Amino acid sequence: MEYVLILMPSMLKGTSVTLQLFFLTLIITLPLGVILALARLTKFKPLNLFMQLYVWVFRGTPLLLQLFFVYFGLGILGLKIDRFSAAVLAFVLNYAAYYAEIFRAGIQSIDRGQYEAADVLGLTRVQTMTKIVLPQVFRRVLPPVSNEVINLIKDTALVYAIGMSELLRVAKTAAVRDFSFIPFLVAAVFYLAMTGVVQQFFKWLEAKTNFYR
Amino acid sequence: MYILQANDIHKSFHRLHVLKGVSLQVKTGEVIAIIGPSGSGKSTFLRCFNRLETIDSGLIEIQGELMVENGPDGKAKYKAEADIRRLRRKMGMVFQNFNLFPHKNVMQNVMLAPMLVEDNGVKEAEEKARVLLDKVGLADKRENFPFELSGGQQQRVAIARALAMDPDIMCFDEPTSALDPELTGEVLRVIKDLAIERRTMIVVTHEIGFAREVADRVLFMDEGLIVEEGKAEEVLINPRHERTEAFLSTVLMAR
Amino acid sequence: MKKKIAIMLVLCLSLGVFMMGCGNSEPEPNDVKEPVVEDTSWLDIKEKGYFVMGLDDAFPPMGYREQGTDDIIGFDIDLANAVAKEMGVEVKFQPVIWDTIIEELNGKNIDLIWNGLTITDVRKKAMAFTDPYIEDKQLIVIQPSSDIADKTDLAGKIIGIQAGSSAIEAVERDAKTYESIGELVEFGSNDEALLDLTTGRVDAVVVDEVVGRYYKGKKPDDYKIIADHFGTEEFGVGLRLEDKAFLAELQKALKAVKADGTASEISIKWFGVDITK
Repeated sequence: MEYVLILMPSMLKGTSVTLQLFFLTLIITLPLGVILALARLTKFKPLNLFMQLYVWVFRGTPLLLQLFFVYFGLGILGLKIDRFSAAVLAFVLNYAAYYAEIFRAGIQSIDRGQYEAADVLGLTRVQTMTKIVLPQVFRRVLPPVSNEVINLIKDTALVYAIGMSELLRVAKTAAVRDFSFIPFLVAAVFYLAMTGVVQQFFKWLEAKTNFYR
Repeated sequence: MYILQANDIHKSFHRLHVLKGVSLQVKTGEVIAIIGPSGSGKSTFLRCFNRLETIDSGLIEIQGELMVENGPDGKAKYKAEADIRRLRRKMGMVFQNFNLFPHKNVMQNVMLAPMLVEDNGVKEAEEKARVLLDKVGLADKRENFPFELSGGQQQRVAIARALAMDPDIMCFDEPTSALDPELTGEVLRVIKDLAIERRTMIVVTHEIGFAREVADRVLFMDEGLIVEEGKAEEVLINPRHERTEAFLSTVLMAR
Repeated sequence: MKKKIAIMLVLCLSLGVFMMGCGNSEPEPNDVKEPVVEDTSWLDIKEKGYFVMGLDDAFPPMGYREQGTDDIIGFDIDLANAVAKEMGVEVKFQPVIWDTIIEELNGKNIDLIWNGLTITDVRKKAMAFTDPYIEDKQLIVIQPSSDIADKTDLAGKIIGIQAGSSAIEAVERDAKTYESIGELVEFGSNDEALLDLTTGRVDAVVVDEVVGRYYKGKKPDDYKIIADHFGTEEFGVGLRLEDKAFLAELQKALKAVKADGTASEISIKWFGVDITK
């Protein structure tokens, strides 16, 4: 127990890196995902094709590889960004691709009758999107989105690869130093606490917006 | 002057010729029933009036204002988007599947369009919604969500929602087809009340009894054409055309 | 010592292929016919007043995080500070991952690698080394109850080793022993290999002396180190191949620190004996 207390300061510091990366990515990615989904659904061919390519590239390669490319690759091309910004950029690019696909599927799942009802009432296209379609999409995509949000927490562990001291890396550092398994246990508890909060939040949100059979 | 005029409407889906030149003139206060077998084009015809379907050629005029007419090439040419949105508001539409907004409660469903489209204030929209929900007999369901209502109740909310825009013409696209038989009565009663108020209405329906009771005029459509048209009792009781007769006997037998 | 050269090379290659054209910027040590660019490496460091030292901060006792304070400490840290003082500059420590040290170095995120880095011929092609500062053995660690007495007893046994480490090369060099052993199991890191030794799933672990002694110190009852070993190696500091001026200055300072006894002091502080070279 005493040992766990000794671990706390560095574990909390690692957790703060993890959480910063998590929240920043989430705040940028969710709205971006909606925009990209709409871009993907546009009838404007070049944009549509570009989006398909984008989703293919960022969903079709490991996030770890994308981290390397953003941090080292852009560095080689002369665009040097610090580790944290590189991590955020890579995570945003990757997760936006996933969210774009989730939102696209969500938008396409909305019944044509909803558009028609909005149409005959005289709503504009923007009103139809913002007042009728998207609110329903958000409700429908909550389960897959909560999945991805939980994945995001766990994926933050990958940034160790560009030398950032996030939670798991800190645990590993301590485990190697003290030759003990306890830091990993503590890290597991930390991750469970974070994912637990997210899980409860989405459960609450789903219950609150339960306007479907 | 006609409140609605549709002349020689043609419409195809890919190769399928669904409307082969149909016309309709509606006078203010008239109640029109369109009947016919499924696939006859009757729903498509109705949906053309507020451009849920775009026509290939023909003319549609609402209260003397042109929505679409043939261009020099003989193909339908629509007015600007804003004009059409304005014309659409004169037409109330009730769908077979209700199409209520599931994320809004009953009051919000009815208030939405007046507030967004007509710029009504909350007070005004609320007042209007209360009156209309009383009228369709759902005063006690204001705060409920659509999923908590029966099909008949949902359809009555949909009627209230359409009425909230004060339309000049109410269009009903098979309003009771998706309902259990014991729930059709409550919806038909509401539509009947509207007929008594002398609202202009076009109803696509399978309810022959209802058509006879409520409609001033009945159109029988088959294979994209209007086969027979006339006063309700003439068409429904003494059809002149054998296709009408055949249709009526199958429908009545099925009941 | 840790190296994972193969992974590094694959990464270099893939980066080169994907970022088209950057392949040209890869240093080519054998080709000196290009117009000589003036080497400002030392001037640059003197000007900014520090050099950035890349290290794996999970590598006790060379460089790791102090329990409680989280500061980076270790033998290499003390030595680097002493050398920097001699040079009149400061050190900034940057934790990096071994898989990507070459990218970190060539991407100029760090100025050098100083982290118990074994000097090998393969690595000499990718980076410039200072003279060695430590001589290190590849030890054989066993369970106290084990009857393994020397290398010949390893015949048919399962040996744990860190993946991509110079310990593997050392074992492979000893062809006779290498042929005789049962299986070579590679682990992500030394501590994992040693942990598996306590469970008995491996019979022995081959590891650097500095690392082996550190863990033996942690759990004296769990491990035994036998006298026989897989030869000696040397640690050096790795720099970019083209930073010749910086290398020369560093070399000079390292020599001075060794000569005035500071290096021995640091060695005694961390290892109890002077293993500097």
